[in-house]
Amino acid sequence: MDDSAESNSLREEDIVRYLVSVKNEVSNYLEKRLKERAISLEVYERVRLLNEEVAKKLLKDLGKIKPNEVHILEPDRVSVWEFARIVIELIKASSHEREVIDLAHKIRKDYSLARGFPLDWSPENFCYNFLAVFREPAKMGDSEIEVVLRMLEHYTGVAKAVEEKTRTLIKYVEEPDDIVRMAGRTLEIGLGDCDDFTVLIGSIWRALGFLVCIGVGPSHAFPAVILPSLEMVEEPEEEVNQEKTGSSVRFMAIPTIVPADGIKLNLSGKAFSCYDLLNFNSSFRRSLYTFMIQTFGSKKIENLLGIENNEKLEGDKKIKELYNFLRRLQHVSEGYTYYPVPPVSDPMLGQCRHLITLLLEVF
Amino acid sequence: MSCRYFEKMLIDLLYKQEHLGQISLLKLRSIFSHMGQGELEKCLEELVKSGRGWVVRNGHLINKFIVRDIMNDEKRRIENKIKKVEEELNILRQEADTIEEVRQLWIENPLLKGEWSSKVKLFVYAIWSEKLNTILGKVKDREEELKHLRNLIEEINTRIEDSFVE
Repeated sequence: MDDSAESNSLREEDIVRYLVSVKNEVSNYLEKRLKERAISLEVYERVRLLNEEVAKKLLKDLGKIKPNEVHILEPDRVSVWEFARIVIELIKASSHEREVIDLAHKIRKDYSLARGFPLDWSPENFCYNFLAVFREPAKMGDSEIEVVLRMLEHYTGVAKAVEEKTRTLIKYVEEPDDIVRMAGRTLEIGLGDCDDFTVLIGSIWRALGFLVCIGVGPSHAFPAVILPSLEMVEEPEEEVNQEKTGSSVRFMAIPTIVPADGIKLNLSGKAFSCYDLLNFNSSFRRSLYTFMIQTFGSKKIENLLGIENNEKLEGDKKIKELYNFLRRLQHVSEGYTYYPVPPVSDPMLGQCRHLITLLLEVF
Repeated sequence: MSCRYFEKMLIDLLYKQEHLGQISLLKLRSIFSHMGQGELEKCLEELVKSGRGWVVRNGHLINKFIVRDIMNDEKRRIENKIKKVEEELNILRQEADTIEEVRQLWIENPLLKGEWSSKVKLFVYAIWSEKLNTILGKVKDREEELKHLRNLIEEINTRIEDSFVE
């Protein structure tokens, strides 16, 4: 899980090296500003003293550093990126908290027990290695597909269980405050707003080894998990002609961003969420296909997304619900900026599909 | 008491903080009751005709020169205060901007890497943010003060230009 080979624990020598480095850096910066007359001598002195005070405080409190929460500054002084960075650091730090690790593995074990499918838990070796192996279309035998799908379903199920369990444990409240809490603190108080949910769900996923990112907009944030979706890909025609045997279908694993923003849909008497849209054999997709063909005579999602202000949309409650569901998927993909939580990197995130893009491709 | 002496006493009285250049006729009559009604009215009439700034309006005796004098003094006092608050505000804003830069240096230091660094980053962020918030609070207070003082100047200008003075 480390984004470097370094230790997870706080070491005094690391802090001392860091303090020496930062002290020199700040001294140089303040002297430069003073020489340029960008700051007065009074400001130089005040900030220099503050700098020493912070360094002393860090050394004094070393070992008992356990931030519970972070106060975000006035919104006009905090950019979206800075806010995202704080949330990312909170997710990283929280994912090492004992209570978060314990809860994460309890959710995983409970899910496995309920499903009767014990599994060596190793998303990095299965989910993400699988993504690397099946980045290009490849052939798979029926039995192999069955095993892979079962495994994928299990990992996806655990990721989904994390979101569901969290929403039962923590009461969602719209907080007017500017505080974002560590996951342990949110678990302790039992309530939180979207920022706290982002940290909590993100850190539980991360503690379980899932790859995580966050979606941040001007007034809302949510966590998202990166999961593989196994898709059927048509084999190039020339290869079919050359081989003239077997199926013309290959499989490919597509890394997909699944947002945990409570987006749900009731269709044909079943409640579906974003996680249920993964993989070519998904029952949600089948229900969608059937519904689209019955209603529109076509499975093209574009047809539904393009019927704004149409009478059909106003008249049929089910169509309206489906339309709203797809619009929300579109909104979470286009209306937010996604930031990777290490070890996810920007290029890695750039290779992932959003659910709506995936659906538009496969439908 | 001569009307000249009465005027001298009145001028001293109207410069006092509680009168600021004007006094109600009712109060005037009570203060100078020893003069007798006839003599007081005669002196008042003389003052208004004297061209030395005396007017009677809305039941008040006003001296527009005294009002201007007091208001101009008050304006100068407030303008000096505004200058002082602006200087303080400038320093505070400079301090806030510098702290923000220093905070970034603390958080973006290349030695802060690896999983352990998150806690330190959050800790450092929290300490610096607390400092910054204190300064920003002071900036806000000074801005409010400045707004209040500028409103006062406007009020004084209005009073100076007001019809009862002209």
